[in-house]
Amino acid sequence: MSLGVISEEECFGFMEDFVQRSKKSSEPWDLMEHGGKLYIYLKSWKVLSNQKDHSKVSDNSSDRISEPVETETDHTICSDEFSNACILFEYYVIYSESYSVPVLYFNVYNSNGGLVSLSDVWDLVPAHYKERLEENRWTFITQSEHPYLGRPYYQLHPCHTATLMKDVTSMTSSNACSNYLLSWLSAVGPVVLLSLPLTLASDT
Amino acid sequence: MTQESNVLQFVPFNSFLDGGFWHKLSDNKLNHYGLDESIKPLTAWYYNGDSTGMPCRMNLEYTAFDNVGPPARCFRAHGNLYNKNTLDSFKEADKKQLLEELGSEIWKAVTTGSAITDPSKLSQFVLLAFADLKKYHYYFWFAFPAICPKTDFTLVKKPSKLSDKFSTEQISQLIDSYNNFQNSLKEYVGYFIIVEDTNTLIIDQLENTQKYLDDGKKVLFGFADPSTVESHPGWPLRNYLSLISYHWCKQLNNKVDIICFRYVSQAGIHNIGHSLYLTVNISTMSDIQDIPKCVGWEKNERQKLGPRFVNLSSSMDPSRLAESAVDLNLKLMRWRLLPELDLDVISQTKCLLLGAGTLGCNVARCLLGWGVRNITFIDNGRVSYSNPVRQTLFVFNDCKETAGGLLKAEAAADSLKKIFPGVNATGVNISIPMPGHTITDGAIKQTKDDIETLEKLVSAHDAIFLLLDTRESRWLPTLMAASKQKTVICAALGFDTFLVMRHGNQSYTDTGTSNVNIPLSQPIPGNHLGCYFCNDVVAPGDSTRDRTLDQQCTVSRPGMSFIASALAVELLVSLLQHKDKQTAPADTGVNDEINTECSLGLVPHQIRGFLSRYQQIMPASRAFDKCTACSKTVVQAYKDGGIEFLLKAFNEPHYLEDLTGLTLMHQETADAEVWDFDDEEEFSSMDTQ
Repeated sequence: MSLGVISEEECFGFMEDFVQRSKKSSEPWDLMEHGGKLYIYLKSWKVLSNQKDHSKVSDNSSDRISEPVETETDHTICSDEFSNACILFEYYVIYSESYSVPVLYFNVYNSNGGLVSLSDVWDLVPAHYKERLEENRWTFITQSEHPYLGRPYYQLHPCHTATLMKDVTSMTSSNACSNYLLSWLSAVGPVVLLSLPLTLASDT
Repeated sequence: MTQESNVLQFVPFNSFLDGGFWHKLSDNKLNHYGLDESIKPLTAWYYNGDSTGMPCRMNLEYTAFDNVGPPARCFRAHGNLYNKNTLDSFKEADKKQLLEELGSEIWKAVTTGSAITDPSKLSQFVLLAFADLKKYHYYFWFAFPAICPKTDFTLVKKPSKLSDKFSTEQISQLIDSYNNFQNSLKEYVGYFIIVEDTNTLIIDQLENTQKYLDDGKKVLFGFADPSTVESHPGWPLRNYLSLISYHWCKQLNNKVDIICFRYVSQAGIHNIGHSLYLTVNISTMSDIQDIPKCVGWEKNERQKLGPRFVNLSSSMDPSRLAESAVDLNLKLMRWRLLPELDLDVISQTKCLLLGAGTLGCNVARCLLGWGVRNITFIDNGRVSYSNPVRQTLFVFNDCKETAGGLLKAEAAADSLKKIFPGVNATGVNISIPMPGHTITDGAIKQTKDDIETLEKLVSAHDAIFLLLDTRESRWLPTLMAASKQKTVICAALGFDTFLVMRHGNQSYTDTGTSNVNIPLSQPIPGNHLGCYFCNDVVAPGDSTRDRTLDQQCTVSRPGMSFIASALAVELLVSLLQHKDKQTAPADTGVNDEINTECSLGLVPHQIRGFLSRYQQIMPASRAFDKCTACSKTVVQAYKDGGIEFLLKAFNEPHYLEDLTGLTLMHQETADAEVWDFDDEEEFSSMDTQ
C-alpha cells in the first residue's frame, strides 16, 4: 500500500468495510458481486434548488403528440410549487486489475432517464472544488464502458490514483481511519459531487 | 364552497427513470417483445426517507422488469407497461380507458378486501410508452390511478407533526416498533396500522385492523409517505383512504387518524418526528355500485397533462457514443498534458486528400485520431489486388466487388465511415490534369469539368494534402491552393527516402515581400517558404544521398508510408496549434531550439527522412521566384487566364518554363556548366543519370 496500489483482495476487504460503515448513514452503499468480483454502488438523488429540471428546459415536442386527457383541474392535487427538480447520481467503485487501484464510475440522470452532460455536472460543483478540478491531475474524466453493466459511464481515470494515494497513505498516522476507499473517495469524490458523511470515518 | 379550504390535497408522484431502465426496455423490445404490444408487468419503488425539498418520486430502474423487489427500506409499486409499436398507436391509445382499466383493478382489490392482505395493490401505475429505437427517442406517460370518493376527503383540523402529538419516548418506541415490524416481513410494506396497547405503540399489519377495531382499540392508519412537503401527504394516501372508507367508515365514525410515516436516518440518528399526523373526514364508499372516477395521469415538465419525451441518442446510439468517446479521449490529452491545445481548430479543419493510396489511407486514419470530422478523397483509380496490404482502408473484397475493383476514393470514404460513423467522408472520382500531358479535343469537356470540380473542392476545404504518386499531378492542386491561400501539406515517397512538407503561404498582394532578404540566421516566415516545386528545382546541396526524391512511390519500403503519413498529419496539427498558423516561421531543429508559439513544439518546413540511416532532417527553403507552381507570375497568369491558361500549360511543353523565366535560367546555367566542366567530368555525370 505504500506505493499507493492495493491488491484485489485488499480492495474487496475495504469495500466490505466501507459498505458496513455506510449502513448507518443516510446514503448506504450496496455491495454487489459480479462473476466472483465485488464492487460497490450508490444511488443518490439531489435536489437542484431553484432550478428547473434539466430535462424540463428544452423540448416541447411531446406536447403536440397527444391531447390532454383531463381538462378540468383537479383541486385535490397539491400545487406544483413543491416539486423541485432533482437529478440522480449513480456511483460505482470497481477494482481495476491493470492499475491495481479502485476506479470510480458514475453517471448523472435527469428524471426522464437522460444523461446530464459533464459540463452541466461541473456547473454544480461547489466553487471551492472547481479550482481543484482544474488544478489537479487525478480528476480527469473519460467515458468508458462499465465493465459489468456494459453501458457507457463516466470514469475518473485511474492512472493518477496510485500517485495520490501514495501521498495520502504515507501521511496517514496509524490510529487514523485506515480504509483506503474512504481516504480516496473523500479526496476525489467532491469533484463529482460525491460527498461522504464524516460519520463514515469514525471507528465506532 | 367554504369546505374547500379543508379539502385534503395530495402531492402527486413524479416518475423518475434512470438510463438503465431505457437500456433494458430497448433490449427487451429488440430481443423479447418484438411487435408484441401486450401488457408487461413492471416494478417500481418509492421511499419515505428523503429530506425536505426532494420531489415525491416513483423510481424505475434496470430491475423494473425483473420483479426483484424494491431496494432496502423502499416500497413496491406494481405497474403495467403498454409499449406501443408506433408513435401513432401511442398517440391514439385511449388514455381514459387505460386509467379506468387499472382503476377498476384497484377498486376490485378494495372491494374484495384483497388490498387488506396485500396493500401493495393500492400502489399501481400505468406506463404508456413508445420507443423509437432507430433514433433512441422515447415517448412516455405515467399514470398513478387514484380512486375518487363521491365527496372530497377533508381535514378535520390542520395537520400536525408527529413530534407534537407524541412524546420523545413514544416516538423512539414507534421507531423500534416500525423497524421490528418491517424487518419481520419479507419486504417492507407501505401500509400498516398503529395501535395503542397498554401504553405501548404497536405497529401491525393492515389485515389485523378488524380485530383491533372489534376489540374497541384505537387504530391509527399509517403509510410510508414519499412526500417531503410539510403540509401535504403523498399520493399513496388516496387509495388508502378509499380502502379505509370502504371497509371501516362506520366503525371509525367517519373520521380517521392518519400517520404519514416519514423516516429519515442521518449520521446514525433516526427520526420520524417530522411525519404528519392527519385527522380526515371520510364517508362510506361501500354503497358505490359502479367503478368510481379515477384520476392520475402525470403532468409533464411543463406542468401539462401530456406525455414526456427523452432523446437518449447521446448515451445509446453507438455512433454518437463513438463520437463522444473520441472527443473525450482528445480532451483528456488537453486536460492532462497540454492545457493550451486547441482541439476545435483541428476538428473544424476540412481536409482534402489528393490520392487515396497508401499515403491517403494512412493520412485519413491519423486525421481521424486527431478528431478531424471532414475528409474528402480525390482519386481516379480502382482498388487493385496489390493495394489492400499497404493501403490501410481497403480489404480484399474491395478488389473483386466490381470489375476492376471499387473506385478508390469512394471505397476509402466508405471505409472511413465504417471505422468512425461520425466522420463526414466523401470520395470524388476525378483525374487531375497534368502539365505536359496533352489534352485531346475529345477530352476537353471532361477536363474542364474535372478542373471545375477540383477548384470547388479546393475552395471548400482548409487543408490540402498532396499524396499523389507523380510529380506532375501535384502541379495543378499546388497552384490552385496557392491562389486560394490554402494550407498545403505534401508528402512524397522514394524507395527509402521521404519528404513531408508544408507549402509556403505567400500573400502575392504585397509586391515587396517575395524579395525581402531575411538574414540567414533568422527562421524563414511561413509566407516566404517554398512549395514542392520550388524545392525540387533547386538542386540539393550537400550529398548525393540526400538528393531529390524519385517519384516512384510504389517501390518504397512499406513502412515509409506510415512514417510519412503520420508526419504529414502531425505537421498540419502543429501548424494549426501555432499562434501564427500558416505564416508560422520554419523551425529547422538546429541548436535544440524550442518553439514558444506552439504548444506541440517545432513547426518545420520540411522533414526529409532517410530510412537507410533511420535519420531525419528538417531543412527550410525559400519560395523560388521562378517556381512553375507557386510564383507570383504563374498564380497571376492562372487568375487572369483561368482554364485557357491551364490548357496551354498542359498542352505546350515549354510554356511554364518560358513564362517563369526558367528557360532563360536553364540556358544560363547550361552555358555556365560548359565553361566549368572538362570533357571527362561531363561523361561521368551522364552515366549516373
